[in-house]
Amino acid sequence: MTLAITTVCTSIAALSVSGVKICDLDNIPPSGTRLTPILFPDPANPLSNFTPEVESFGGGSSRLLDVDYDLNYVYIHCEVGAGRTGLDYLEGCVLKVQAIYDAVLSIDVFTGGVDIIPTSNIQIITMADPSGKNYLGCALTFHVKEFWR
Amino acid sequence: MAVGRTLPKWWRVYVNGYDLSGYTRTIGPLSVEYDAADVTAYMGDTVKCYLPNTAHISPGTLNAVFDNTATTGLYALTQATAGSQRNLMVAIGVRGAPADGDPCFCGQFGQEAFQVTEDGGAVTATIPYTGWAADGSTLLFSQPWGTLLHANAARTSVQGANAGDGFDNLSGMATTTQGGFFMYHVFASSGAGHTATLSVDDGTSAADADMDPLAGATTGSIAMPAGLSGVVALLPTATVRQYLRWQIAFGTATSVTFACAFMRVYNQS
Repeated sequence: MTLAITTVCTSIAALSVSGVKICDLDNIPPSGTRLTPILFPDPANPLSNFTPEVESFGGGSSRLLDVDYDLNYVYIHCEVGAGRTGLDYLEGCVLKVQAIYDAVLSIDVFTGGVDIIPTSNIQIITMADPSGKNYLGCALTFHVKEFWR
Repeated sequence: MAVGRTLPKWWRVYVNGYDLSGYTRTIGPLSVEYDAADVTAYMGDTVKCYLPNTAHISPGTLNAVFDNTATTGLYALTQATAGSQRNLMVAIGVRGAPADGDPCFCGQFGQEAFQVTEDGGAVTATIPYTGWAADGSTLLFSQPWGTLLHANAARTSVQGANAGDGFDNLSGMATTTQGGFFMYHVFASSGAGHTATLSVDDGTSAADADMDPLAGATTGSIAMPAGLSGVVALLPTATVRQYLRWQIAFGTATSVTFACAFMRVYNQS
């Protein structure tokens, strides 16, 4: 087995969440304009807390190794201030985040890793797209375990 | 059937015909331990030496979430059964839900207690098991590990008998003459009184053409209500060949949802 971070990202991109476009690492949009609601890997910090753990004796490729890491995503729902009051889309934003978490929690077997669980606090705030434009959204983190070797 | 490492989330726990996996937090240690008899001859041996004595086999303790769902909930299934014998199967799925051919820990054990407690704010139930039940038919054997021949799934009379390949089992020996036992759990069927026969085939190879009924390893034609489980023990001198598979013959039943496993004994001491 080899490290499969990009494969795990592809598995996440393959999830089906009604109304939400989910991006892989290789198709993060340069801007969120006309693409929302959209979930994409955080371009500034896609991977964090990378923690390999040796599981057996041996050296090089012969030892068993697990690895845990966090994949960080950005969810943007609509432009800040959209709607009549600026809060019209808040419930819709939370519903989509719920749906994303439900989809991730429902994963049993997936390509790349052996376990995945959402770990971030759901904090609906102003999030920037890769171009720096502000949207209503939140940061989402998925904790992944791989049997690396 | 995958091979390699796995995680507990792909284990499944079946007790007396019910799937308790959704309530189970942990179970174990799934253990086979031999007492070590000290046979050191102090005037001749330069080191202390031992021989394995009687085996102690236990599934350890089931830690579960308390749930009072009627009929199929943990409370309904385990609170009144403390002190009684239970047919227990732990199917070990490998990076996926258990599949035909996966490892399996089975046996008849006494449920020692039913203990409800609080753990980190959650209401939980702790269910410790004894070792091999003294009134169980698995008592003839010292091997709880075997092959999951049929993972929890429905079979229908339209599909008919099993003509698929068998599975190589744990020992890899062409034949053994120490018997074994067959455990089955029925989770649902077309009707409580509907009949079918569950059994085991063995063979010299995995191919369908080389498979024959394993003598004695059959339930006979019985009613298949949900929540049925049982053990069919062979004689401890019975010959079992290397490859095994599940088999079903439909009587009046048109559908049976079941899991079954065979524990082939090869290390009886």
